[in-house]
Amino acid sequence: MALNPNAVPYSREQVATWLGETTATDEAALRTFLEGKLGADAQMMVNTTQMNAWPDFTLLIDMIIADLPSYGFTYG
Amino acid sequence: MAKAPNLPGFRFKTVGVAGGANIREALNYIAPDQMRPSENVTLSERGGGRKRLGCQSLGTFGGSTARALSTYTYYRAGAAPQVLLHTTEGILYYTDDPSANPVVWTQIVTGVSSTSPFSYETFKGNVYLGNGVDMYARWNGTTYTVFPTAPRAKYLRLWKDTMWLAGAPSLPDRVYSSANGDAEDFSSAAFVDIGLGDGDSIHALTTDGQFLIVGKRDSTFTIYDPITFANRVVDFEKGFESHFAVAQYEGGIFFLSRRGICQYLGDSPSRVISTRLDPLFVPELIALDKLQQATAYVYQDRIGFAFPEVGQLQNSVVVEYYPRIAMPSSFGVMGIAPFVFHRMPTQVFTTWRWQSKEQLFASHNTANKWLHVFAPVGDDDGTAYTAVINTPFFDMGTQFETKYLRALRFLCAGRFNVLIFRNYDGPIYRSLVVDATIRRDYWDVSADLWGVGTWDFESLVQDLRKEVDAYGRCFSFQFRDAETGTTPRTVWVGATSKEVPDGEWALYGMFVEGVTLGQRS
Repeated sequence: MALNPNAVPYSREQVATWLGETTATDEAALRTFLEGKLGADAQMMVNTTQMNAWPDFTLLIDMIIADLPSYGFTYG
Repeated sequence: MAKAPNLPGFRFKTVGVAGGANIREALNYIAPDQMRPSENVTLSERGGGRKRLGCQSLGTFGGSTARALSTYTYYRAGAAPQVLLHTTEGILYYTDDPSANPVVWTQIVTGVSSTSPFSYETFKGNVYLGNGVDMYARWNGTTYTVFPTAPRAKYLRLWKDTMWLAGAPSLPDRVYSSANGDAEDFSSAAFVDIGLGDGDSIHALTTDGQFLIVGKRDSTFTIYDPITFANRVVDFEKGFESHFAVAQYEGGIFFLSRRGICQYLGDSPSRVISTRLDPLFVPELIALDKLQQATAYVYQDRIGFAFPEVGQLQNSVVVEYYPRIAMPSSFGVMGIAPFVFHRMPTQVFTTWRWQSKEQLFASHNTANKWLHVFAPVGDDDGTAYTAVINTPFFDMGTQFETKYLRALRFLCAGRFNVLIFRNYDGPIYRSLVVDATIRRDYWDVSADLWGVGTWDFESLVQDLRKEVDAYGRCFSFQFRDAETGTTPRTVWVGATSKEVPDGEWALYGMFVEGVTLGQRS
């Protein structure tokens, strides 16, 4: 079952802390890193039915990666 | 014995200026109640036109090169509201009394952006700020707190007890949502892309209470579900030019679009209401690249929009809309109300109400000055300004015959000049001065036993006749001034006459006496 976007139990603050810890140099490495942080929730799906040009359901990891510019995150 | 021909006489009465400015129609098709050249005139008395009040400086802020980027009134229930001011020196100030002279500005924070204006929203007793460059922040009246991990968004809007943000760098389509009831908590997946990758970018967020309105530059969307972020297109052609040029008035949302001033309708594409000003909205006249700095205000019965003309770095012209003067159609639908032009030295606006006062303030557009707009003064920060009303050409119902104008009668207040033009020609044909200024007390004050103001005085509105001696087929009349005073205006509160300060002069009607001479061979 997918969660609505606001119901995802991981805050931006938490994600920002994780991003501060990683030295991932590409998306694959970052994905592996985030999977480690999310543990069992790595497969958490978000309801993105209303997101233009997005699939109906999206992995939380994919949403975090899609929003990296808002954290000012750059690889490496 | 020669006998004078029995020439047909006429009397003609103007129908006021409630139609407002009209620069769209050809000069011979302008309606009798509209104005072609017009400036610095208010229409608060339906039909009448009056010179606006001026702008009074209430002191300076920052260094001499400082200019305001944005301002906001932070209401704090029960306590004096603060006015916040963000300047090009990268400083955010507040004052507890924007009406003081001089205003005392206190720094909240320094080192913030000197180019990107903060937008503001008040929620749960705090004001939240963002500008897309600096960290999202909170000001509670005494302490400034930043939230480093919140999206750095240019635009903030509160809707459904949730803070919505847009305009983050590199994410031009993205709208973020805070947690419900907590403007400081943002989930890592609480965002939605509106018109993803359409090449456009979000320029404004606003709300009608029911929906969050997302204004891109060339289209308008609404988010109608704060849980799933369900959204739809409202208008695929008209968008918002500036987050700061959106005004709410009596249930309506008015905004600046590329097409002109629009009214948001919600269930259908927005309506352009400034069609009579259409020729203004072209790249040759307005600075398209600076419309994101356009601003708006709501004051009393009017909505104003300020934006820069070509070649101007700051807002240089104001168009003002009078929604209450709109006439209902036979179907009961309110029609489009009139616009007027102002030239005021104003950049960003905020309306402030506290205790017995409600005032409109603005920053000066070319100085580090704080202005009381529509203050009871007759100049703009010490500089005289001219008000202009120009009627259409009147042919008195006969297009071809030459007429002789014998006299004009003016129902008016104050002092102004009348310029007469004829036959669609540019040069001034006649000019005359109309002086309806009044003496308020004939009595010798030093010997007054009954009290000043209880003795005789002249009426504020006078009916003056002027001989004119003019010939032509059609005539246009321009009323303008070079005055710097003010004249009171009467408001009847029941059967009690009260006076409120208003502009130097007013024109309520003009009556023309003349004869039709015939066709020239």
